[in-house]
Amino acid sequence: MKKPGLRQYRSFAALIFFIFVFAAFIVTDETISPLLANIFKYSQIIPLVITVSTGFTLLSLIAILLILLMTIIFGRVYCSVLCPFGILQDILGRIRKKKIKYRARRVKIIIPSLLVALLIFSVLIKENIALVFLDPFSNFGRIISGVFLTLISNSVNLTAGSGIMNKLNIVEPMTGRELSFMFIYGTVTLGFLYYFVGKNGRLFCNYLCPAGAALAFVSKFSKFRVSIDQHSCIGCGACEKFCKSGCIDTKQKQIDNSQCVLCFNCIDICPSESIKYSTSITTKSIPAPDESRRNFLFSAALFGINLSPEQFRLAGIDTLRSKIPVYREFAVCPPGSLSYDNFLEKCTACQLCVSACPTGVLDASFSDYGFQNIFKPRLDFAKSYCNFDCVLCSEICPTGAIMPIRDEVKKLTRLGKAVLIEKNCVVFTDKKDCGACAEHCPTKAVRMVDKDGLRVPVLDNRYCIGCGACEYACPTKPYKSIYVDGLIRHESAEKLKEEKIRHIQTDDFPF
Amino acid sequence: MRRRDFIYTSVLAGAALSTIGLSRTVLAGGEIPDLVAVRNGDPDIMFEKAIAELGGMKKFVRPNQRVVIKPNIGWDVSPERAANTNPRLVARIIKHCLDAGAKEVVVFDNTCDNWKKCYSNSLIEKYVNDAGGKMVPGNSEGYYQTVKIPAGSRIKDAKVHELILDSDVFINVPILKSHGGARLTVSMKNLMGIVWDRGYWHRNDLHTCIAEFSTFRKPDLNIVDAWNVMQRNGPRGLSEADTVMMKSLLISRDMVTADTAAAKLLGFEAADVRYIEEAAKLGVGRKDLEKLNIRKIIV
Repeated sequence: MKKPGLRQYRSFAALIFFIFVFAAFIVTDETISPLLANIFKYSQIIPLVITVSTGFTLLSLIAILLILLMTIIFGRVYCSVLCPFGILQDILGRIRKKKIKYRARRVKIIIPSLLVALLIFSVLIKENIALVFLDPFSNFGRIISGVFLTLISNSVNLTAGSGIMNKLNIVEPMTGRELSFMFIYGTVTLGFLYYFVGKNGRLFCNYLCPAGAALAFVSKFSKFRVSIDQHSCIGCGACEKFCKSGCIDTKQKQIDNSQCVLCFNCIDICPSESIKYSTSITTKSIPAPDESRRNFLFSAALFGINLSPEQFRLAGIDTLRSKIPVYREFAVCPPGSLSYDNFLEKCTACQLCVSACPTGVLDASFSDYGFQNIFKPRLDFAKSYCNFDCVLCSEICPTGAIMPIRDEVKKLTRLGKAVLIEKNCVVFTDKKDCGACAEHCPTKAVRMVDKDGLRVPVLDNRYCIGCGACEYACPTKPYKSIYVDGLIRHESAEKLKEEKIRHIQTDDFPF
Repeated sequence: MRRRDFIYTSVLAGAALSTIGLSRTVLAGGEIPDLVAVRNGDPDIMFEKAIAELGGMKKFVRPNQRVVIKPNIGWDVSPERAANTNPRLVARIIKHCLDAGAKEVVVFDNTCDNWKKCYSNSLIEKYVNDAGGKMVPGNSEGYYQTVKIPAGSRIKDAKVHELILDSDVFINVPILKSHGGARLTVSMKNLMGIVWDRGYWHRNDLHTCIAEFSTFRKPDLNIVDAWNVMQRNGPRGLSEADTVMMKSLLISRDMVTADTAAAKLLGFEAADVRYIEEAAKLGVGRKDLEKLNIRKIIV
């Protein structure tokens, strides 16, 4: 048995970090989720860059500087230990085959240059569609949340409901994700990743990742680096075959440190122990790579199929169907996101809030904000509603798209306005009491009043905060009788104040 | 197998109950009161007095039976808001069931707000666990089995939580509240929390659905928490300003009786609340309080 070396230590560290980030996208516990999210909140480059560029925060800037400092000393440790998407690729490669001979390619300098330019450009013009698709963290989040959380929550809920399990009370039902286009999108991304990882190693990290590209420029000058001992090397070429990022040139016995993601496969495989990770500097510049042909387009996998925009089913012996379709002009963005401007500019659609949302009302949008903002979450009142006493999404958002908001402020923040469609409502159409909307309304913006022997809904939007409880609870099918239309800029709502009810205590019974 | 057992026991229980009912009418003013009403105590203390009046929990729970308690845990609010059943009351009921020899006491509700938050913020979870009961989720369709409602016209079948079908004793512990749509919620309305699809009720004549579903299974006991009562803006309420300290508690084996009496506490008559009227017509129970044997206790 070989003594564990750098490769094993790195794998171990990466795995530990990976488990925490993975868990943050799976665990939907209100106390644990923010803890997990905070562990890596200041470790992901693209979210940090967005935070710093859009609303300066000192901590985020310090975090970026620390990552750069770390890179200039140790090389791209970020890619090997702190990037969950990179680690996911390593895990996929490992699953595919224990030892893969990669056909990774050397990268021309033009590619990282373009990627860095794209990053700067996106930040400057405040349009992050490119980052949404290229940010490794958000890609990771979409896969874990879209595929794994969907699978886990659905199977948990299947078992939770089935006889034996709940009699033993082993499994509790959990709020997770329904099967949606995110599942297909995530699966397709995962499939592409699996294919290319097995063939070309960390192709994404050197060809598509803006963070990797930026670090490539820094790690060119790093103090510690992987290098080949020119004298003891027997030129067998094993290291080149097992290199994930195609940064080794066996003929020249050179390693391109800017491309190296520090997986240490080479050190592990070298039969003559000629490769070392140390401060020894071999300054001989490396000739530019001779070829750079393959370019794969992740964007081919970008468009999934929207499974179910409007879910409804008719069951039982319903006597009436509502007739007026609901036309929602604006989707509702989460509390704390302030406005479309703020939210859409900063959100990279990592789905962390979607995973953590205790009620499951947050879900990836398809075209609600326009196609250029695909995947960015909105409140889906067909699924649930925003809990009155909850600000969890604002506590965990890594980019500041959802800004921290205090509980009492959130309770008076209007995300949208309710609209009542009397022509759909059973109280008017069937002349029968219902009251589901008023029942759920936490602010009494909608309340039931006496009219012609019935209890009739009356809406006062001064108090409405757009939580969507009324819309979710409204029972009419196929169209709701009350819905929330989003606001592109959140507003302040009024608080309904009522006198304390006076009660004369008697010892007597009224019967 | 279980379901057959259940049907068998419930038929037996039904038969037993109707015999008791008969003997009571014969012995007018006899041993077991139709309604016990208590005032001016803490919820748990009032329950002690009331259950003693009914001959103790041993009359309702036999050794080794499984008891299911259905409080109202619908909302993610703290106990002072009086939107959920008082946790101390639930805990005391569990204690009495366990003392009577119950093998297990389970508690659940199909909550309106997020179930975990409701269970914890109502403090019911904590009190139930401390009292030796067990909280069970009610938020997944898999727990619910389809049952027929023979007397149903608007609601012919419903999916009911299997704990209701599998347990030997069913104790309904509603809290009295005003209700925007149904005017007030007490025992019968509380049963909406044992079914899966409430939306169906709401869009198919809420009152009739409540009344018709009440013919499905009568709880063995209805314990109405009217200690702190939400008098307006129910069932969720807006703030503590909506509540009044009534310091009352009602127990009856008859949901219609319990609801009629509770309605009066809130200033309603049975005639004001259509589901009480309809349930009485369907024979779910009696609303003629003046003819019933009512035991009134002031602590």
